[in-house]
Amino acid sequence: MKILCVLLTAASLYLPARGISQGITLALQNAPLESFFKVVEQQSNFSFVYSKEAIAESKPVTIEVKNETLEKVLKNVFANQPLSYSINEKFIIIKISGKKKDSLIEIRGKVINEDGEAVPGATVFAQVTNKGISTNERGEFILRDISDDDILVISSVGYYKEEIRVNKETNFLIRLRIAAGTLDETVVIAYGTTTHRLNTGSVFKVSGEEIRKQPVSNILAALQARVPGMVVTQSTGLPGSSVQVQVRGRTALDLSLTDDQPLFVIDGVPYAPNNGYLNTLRSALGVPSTTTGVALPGGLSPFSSISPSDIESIEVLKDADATAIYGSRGANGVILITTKKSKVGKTTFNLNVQGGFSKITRSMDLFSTEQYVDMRYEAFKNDAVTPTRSNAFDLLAWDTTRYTDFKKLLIGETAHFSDVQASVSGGNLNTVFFLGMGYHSETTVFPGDLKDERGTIHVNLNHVTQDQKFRVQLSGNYNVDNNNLISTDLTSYINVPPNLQVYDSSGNLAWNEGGVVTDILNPLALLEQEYSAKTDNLISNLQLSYKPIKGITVRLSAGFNDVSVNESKTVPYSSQNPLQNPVRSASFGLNSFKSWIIEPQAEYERNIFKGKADIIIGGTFQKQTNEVSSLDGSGYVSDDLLGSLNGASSVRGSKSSSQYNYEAIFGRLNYNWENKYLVNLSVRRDGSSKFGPDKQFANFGAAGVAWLFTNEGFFKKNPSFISFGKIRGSYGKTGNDKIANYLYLDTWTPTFNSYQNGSGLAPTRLFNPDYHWEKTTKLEIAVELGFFKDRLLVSAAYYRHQSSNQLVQYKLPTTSGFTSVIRNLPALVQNSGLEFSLSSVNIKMKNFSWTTTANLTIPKNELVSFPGLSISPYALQYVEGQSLNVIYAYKYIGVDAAKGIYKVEDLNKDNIITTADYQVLGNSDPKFFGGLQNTLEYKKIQFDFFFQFVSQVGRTYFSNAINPEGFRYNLPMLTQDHWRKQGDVTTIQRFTQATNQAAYNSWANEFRRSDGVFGDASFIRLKNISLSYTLLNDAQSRTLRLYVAGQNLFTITNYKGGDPETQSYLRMPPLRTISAGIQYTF
Amino acid sequence: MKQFLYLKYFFAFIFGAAFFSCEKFIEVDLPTDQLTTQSVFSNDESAVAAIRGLYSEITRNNVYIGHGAMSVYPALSADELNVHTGNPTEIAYVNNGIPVNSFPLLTNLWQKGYFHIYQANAILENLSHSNSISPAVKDQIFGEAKFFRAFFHFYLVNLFGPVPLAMSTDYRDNAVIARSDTTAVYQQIVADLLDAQKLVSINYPTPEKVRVNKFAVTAFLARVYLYLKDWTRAETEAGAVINSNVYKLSTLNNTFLPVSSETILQLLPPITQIWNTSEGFSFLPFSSFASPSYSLTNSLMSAFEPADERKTNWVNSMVINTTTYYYPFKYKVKSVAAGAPKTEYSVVLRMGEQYLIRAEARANLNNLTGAQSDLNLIRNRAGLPNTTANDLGALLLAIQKERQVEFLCEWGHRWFDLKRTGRTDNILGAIKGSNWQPTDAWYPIPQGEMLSNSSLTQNPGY
Repeated sequence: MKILCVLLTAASLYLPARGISQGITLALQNAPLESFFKVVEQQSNFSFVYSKEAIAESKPVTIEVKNETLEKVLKNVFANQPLSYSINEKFIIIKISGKKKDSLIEIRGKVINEDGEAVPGATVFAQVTNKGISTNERGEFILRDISDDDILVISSVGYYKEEIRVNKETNFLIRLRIAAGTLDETVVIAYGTTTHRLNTGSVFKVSGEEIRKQPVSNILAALQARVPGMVVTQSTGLPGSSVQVQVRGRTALDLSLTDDQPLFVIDGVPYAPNNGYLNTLRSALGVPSTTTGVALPGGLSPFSSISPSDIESIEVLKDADATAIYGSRGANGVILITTKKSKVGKTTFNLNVQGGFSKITRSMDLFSTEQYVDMRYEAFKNDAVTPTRSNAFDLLAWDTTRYTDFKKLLIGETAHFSDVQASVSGGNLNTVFFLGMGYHSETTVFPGDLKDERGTIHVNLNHVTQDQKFRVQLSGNYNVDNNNLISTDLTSYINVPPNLQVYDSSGNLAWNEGGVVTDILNPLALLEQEYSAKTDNLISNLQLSYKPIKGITVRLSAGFNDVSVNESKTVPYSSQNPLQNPVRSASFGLNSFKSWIIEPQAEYERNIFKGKADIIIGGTFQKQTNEVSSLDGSGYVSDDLLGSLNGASSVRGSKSSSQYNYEAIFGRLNYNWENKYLVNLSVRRDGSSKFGPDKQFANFGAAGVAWLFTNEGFFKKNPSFISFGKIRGSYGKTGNDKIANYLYLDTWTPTFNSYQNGSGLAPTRLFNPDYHWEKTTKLEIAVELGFFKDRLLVSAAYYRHQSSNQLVQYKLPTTSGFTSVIRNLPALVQNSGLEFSLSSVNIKMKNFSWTTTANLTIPKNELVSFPGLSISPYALQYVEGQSLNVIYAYKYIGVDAAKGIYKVEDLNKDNIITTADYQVLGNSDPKFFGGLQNTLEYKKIQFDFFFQFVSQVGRTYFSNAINPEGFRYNLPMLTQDHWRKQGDVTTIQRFTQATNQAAYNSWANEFRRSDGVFGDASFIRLKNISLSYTLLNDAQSRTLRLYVAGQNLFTITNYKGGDPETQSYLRMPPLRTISAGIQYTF
Repeated sequence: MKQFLYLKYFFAFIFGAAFFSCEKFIEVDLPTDQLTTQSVFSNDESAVAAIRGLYSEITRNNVYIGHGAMSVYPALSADELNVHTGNPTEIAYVNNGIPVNSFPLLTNLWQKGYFHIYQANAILENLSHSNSISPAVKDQIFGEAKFFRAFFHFYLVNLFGPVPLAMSTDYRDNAVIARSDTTAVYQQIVADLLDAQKLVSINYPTPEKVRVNKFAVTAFLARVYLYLKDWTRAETEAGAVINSNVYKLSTLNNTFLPVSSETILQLLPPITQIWNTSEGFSFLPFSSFASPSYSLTNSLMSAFEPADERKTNWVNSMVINTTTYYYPFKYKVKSVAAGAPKTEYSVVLRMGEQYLIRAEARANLNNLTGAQSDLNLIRNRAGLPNTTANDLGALLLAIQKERQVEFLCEWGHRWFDLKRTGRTDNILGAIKGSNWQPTDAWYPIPQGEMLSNSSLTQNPGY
């Protein structure tokens, strides 16, 4: 925390803004006027505006002043010049004296944006003549009687201000750049865009730039700690692994049935696989759940095939105002991913080549063989059991002098990655295009030649007719990913006995040393079990819009998404213990998601009284299908045939498909009264095929209001250090329908095996048409403030999301024939909290700038009520009034010094330990978390560094351990401090070697179910560093940039275990990556 | 104001489109890999598939309650098997210290038992509502479902003591179901079997003896009466099977083959799997270099009389590092190529048991000669001379000893016999020493079940 405090303090030390009275020190002797300008520009915040003619008329300057005010210096210098000057904001405008009147001209122009669209209502202001006008419908303007040497300042909400010298020209095409990083930056929201300034809801934007600064291949991983209220967790450090996202806390009581992942929308099209997993076979990335089909942590991420290079921005929608228009899918937040768009301008080529390497970060130090053998003998001695060849083959049949560092052997390699991206873009006022291609390849830290390769193509086309009435926009992404891994994460084998024989004397994989057949797998054999997943991913969207008359736009958005994954996995003879009757087998899987969506919309804009009303109304028709098929072959005669089914003596196949239809009508009314008072109302009626008859339709809606108090008259008259102020609030209802299809049907499924040449039928599930959507009611109140002309922007939000009607796999005793049934539980889960974000320009000088952005979230999760909890199967899992992640367990009170076994508190003093002794011992929610980004720019060098911080309690090594200390597994060094003899005071009990021992029982029945397996998992991580140097940036807008970046560079933590993020030392931790690259644009 | 007109039409179009298509648009196709309950019980063919599904689920996995588990776990708990896998879970069964969270306890025994009972109940309920199935088919399926409901309740009640009696598919009832006392469970078992006896056909409904017929029901009913000490009925039912002349004792090595003349009910192992029978797969060693997973205990080996041919035909041995390991060899094939025909079937009920049931019943009914003659049939088949036991006590002991070797590692006979004859403490206490507690005779109610059903109570000692 110390580091954080220092950085925050530093960020608040503002350099005082330098004004006109600031000191100028200079000495010039017969110098050209331009060099005087240069010196003044360096020492002040002012820039000179002048024409060539003016300089031609100027005389050399001689002056010597020390710490003089600018005013006096200017007066002094211009006293002898045939020129005059005027000061306007940050500009000193130079004019040829007495030339004003005879050079008045009329100019015409058109203001457009980067997409070539007209910008109506933009202000065009002539600085010198002090005249201004707004552009008309078509973005055009005429200014009469202005100086031919005037300065035009063009401004419009949502765009950067442009300054253009008239220079006797009379016709202008002015292109405004969309403002970024400011209040007027465009923000993508549901069915439209807005700006930070005018937004009534909670929307957080992460730009593509920010994502690309990080050498990570999954765009979701790049969001880690960047968005207040959002927790992003990488499941493993393997390429292609899934990244879990949780917006504003956990809402799901049963994660095996529903998930609380937000809705992912790419270019307006809901992403078919959302953030589930893509693999149907088990791979090193994770295991698909066989019961529900819902993703368990891990698995192949549907985002692994999407390239960060194709991303324009990612917006995270959180509150009711922003999400209610997504109705039954908005409860857990919505993440809008926008891909790169074309821009009007000359044809630009961009080439970016990057390469780097990764190593594992944190892992645990394990025993040497000597320590391991001592540990095992100690365990046998403690248990008074004589080691025999059957119970202690690792000591008696195996070589006890051999040592293999399995951590180094299995996960100690260096992973490499390389990435090439090329794009060409450009176009004219009517048609613009963007074509991008990329290739990415990434290896692993496992031994062997495993990798994940990705090829991407991104196309964006935009056309608008001459009269600006009809517009067509097409975007398409086609991505191919080939994930070549193995079937099992080798990290889960780093704790095999360190004297396990890996190779025999002839260099082959070793098995059953000393002739004892064991179940201990030679982990290197797993490298023989190849796994590959080939993903094809097409995301396309076509948008047509037509403006028949003023104020009305009709739009049709149609999208298609096709994601399919082709998997294969082999289990060759060589990967199995030859004495355990190996059977060669291979599995093949195909998982295909297809989704289309059509959304007709109409938008109507009109001024009503003093305000502007914007009404949007539309409908959604979506159809999604998922087909899963798998084929398993076994009994092959040769390993070489495993790629096919032909050599299998037995083949089993399965194929299933499911369909999801969804429709909705929605509407939104936005009313803006003079940029002071804003009201935003949204409604949606949803119908979904996921629910049983009579449960298919539901209504959702929200209201948002905002008051921009700095736009009130009294504020404008008395400008203060507060430059922007907004208070906003929203309230509404959203839903969650993330549940598999058909679950309400009681169906019979063909059995796994046939019987007597005929397939059997067995019941699939219980009949249950009663379940319905989960409901979340969201409330938010926020304050957004800008200080010092918006150099410092802060916002604070309080939110309260109440989720009810929880969908749960209500656990049943198996006497019911099933292990669970789906129900809407009348429980209420509340997520509330405070979110803060800050962005500040700490220093802004000509050659140096320092900006800081930071965010902090203080969340609170609470199970407010749960009628009947005590008699429900969740009685031991949840506690009313506590977090869903409550640690409800025995209280661990240390090791019995006399017996050397774990002790937990006997709360009710009845001398037996039962679940009646469970107590609330905190929770594993983060107490607070956030990120801190600093960007320093000096001339052509840009340096960014980003810290992630989390304060939390998590599962430590003691929770990961499969058996108590002393079993046939290697142990981390921290277990050296354990009970050895009577009277020892330790936190780790005596070693034991079998399950029939008291020490095993105390571990399994008491310690494992106590808070002893939890510990501090807070950390501060230097998540990202990026340093870039612009070698070339010339007038033809050619740029050449070199950069280096690092990810997960170091972590400060007291965590006892592997990585505090994945919280398992038996799963691949996120990797530390260093990369370097070069970008050339021309 | 023309613009408003356009707008009105447009909105009307959108709303109209959305509303009119509402109900229709969100109708979806049914899943391609599942059938609705209604369609399953709408014709003979799929109804037969439903009962076939029950058999298929019973043999689906190795070492589950209906397929192998009863030959392994009770044998470990009793005095039949040692374990050499080093697997702590199995060692717990040998040491009679089964933890309440033991994985196979819940998964392989309890849970699977109730899954099969649910499946039987689902067939019974849906079938009784269906009018479109031919009466003969309906009776046969009905009877088979009743048989299996009784069958699994029988094993559950003998493993766990009083158990919940699951009689419907309504999860709201079954989720809060309490344990019924043993008498009530047995009453239901008998009632189901008597019904089944009336419903199923005398002939097997399909080729081979892999579906339940009247004699299978009768043979099982004989065993149930034996356990209930209803000697008269036990003798009658066993006698009905024996006197039918459909089955006769076969040679030792043919007993467990599909062609065996002795078997009354066999289960067909799944053709697609590499194992032949669950027992063969579990008991036979992987190779000649490594000890088998399980070996027969010394006490079991010493129970064989020297001339007993079962010792050589049903037991095999191997020597590893000078230690001799004896292992069950009733099933002689560990695995075959997947898809290849199975050469052995899992034997559920056979004539050998019927003779010993009748012997025990007759002895208790004081028909000592009759008892001796039944017993001698079994002894003679094994190459042993007639029994020398000629008073009731000695004869009953001789029958128990015969059962010990005849049914070694077969369906938990030894474990149940020790319990029903009240000899656990004497015999197992002597062998297992301090590991044995009298309460170990009943397995604990799985902890997971206790947590999700507050009506359940735990057995003493856990």
